[in-house]
Amino acid sequence: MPLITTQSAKGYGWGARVAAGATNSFESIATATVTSGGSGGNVVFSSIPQTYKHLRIHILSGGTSGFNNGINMFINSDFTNANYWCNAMGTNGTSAYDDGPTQLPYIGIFGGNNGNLSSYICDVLNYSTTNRKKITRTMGGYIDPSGGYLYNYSMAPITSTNAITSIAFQGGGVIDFREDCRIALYGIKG
Amino acid sequence: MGVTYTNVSAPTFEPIATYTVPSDTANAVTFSSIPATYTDLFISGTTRANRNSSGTMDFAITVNGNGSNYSYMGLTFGNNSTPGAYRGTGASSIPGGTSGKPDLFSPFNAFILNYASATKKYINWWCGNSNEQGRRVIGSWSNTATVTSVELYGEQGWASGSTFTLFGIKAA
Repeated sequence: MPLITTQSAKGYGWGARVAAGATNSFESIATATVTSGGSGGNVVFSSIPQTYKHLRIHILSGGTSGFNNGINMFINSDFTNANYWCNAMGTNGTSAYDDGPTQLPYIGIFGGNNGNLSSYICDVLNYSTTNRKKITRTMGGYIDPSGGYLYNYSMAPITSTNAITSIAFQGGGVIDFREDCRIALYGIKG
Repeated sequence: MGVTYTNVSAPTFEPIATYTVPSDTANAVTFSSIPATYTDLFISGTTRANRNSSGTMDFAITVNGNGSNYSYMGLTFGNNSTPGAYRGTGASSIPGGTSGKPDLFSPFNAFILNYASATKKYINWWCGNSNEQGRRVIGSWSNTATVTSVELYGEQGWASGSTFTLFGIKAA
């Protein structure tokens, strides 16, 4: 376990301020915020503009039960079994594991529970091209006092080269997204 | 019950501050007076700890100068060895890793989600030692205070030339 340094941070290392807003190559497309009472099931980003090179998604999610609640991610409303390949490396904090490739009908990641949100950063690369299969990469996880999971995921829909126009998130199992979940979609221009 | 969708198309990734360590120092680097006008924060850079030794050096993150209530989980990989793991709760910081002065500078980037909201804060962090070991770390800070400062600690401080840049990300 790494040691923690004890140097004081006070009064040192203030960054020099630089001009803001010098680039507009990273733009917010849409944000879904779950309101009081939960999401009622799904979060869907549709009609995604095709004017970016890549997409990035910031995910804060949790369910309404005390267990870790999975999140299933679907692209272009494709629910076909084995259309997504999963390669994962992760840990429960005690040991590491390597998994895959596993064929699934969705991209599956662990969500948080009713006390601990999960946080993920997900990149969807070359989403608007039509000459190649799409790749996503996702890193994140959740921690609770008794456990949790960290995922370092790479996976791809394997059967379609269609441009990605919609991305949906569905709470796995019987849960929906609890209040204060947030999923933000960004576009990155190349 | 429901989901509120907000749409906007505007620049949302902005540099807030950047800092290059001018000479070897035993101190931490602190970004302070962080504006609360963004949704998430992103910090990136290349670092070497100020310790004249090879191997993975300590690199830790705290916020608001606070030394309690952190939880974390880390994955280590590379170095021709079996991947490893570590976790902690009720900790004084979120620990990652970097290189020492004999080794290459090591890249890192970290997201701090919900930093300005009155909820628990979440950190996703890529770091490690370029010569030896990569790390993926997730962490949380169980405090509802707005994050106004971020402290970055290297083992025995930071070597000259280490760079740190803080960005703000606005969601729609």
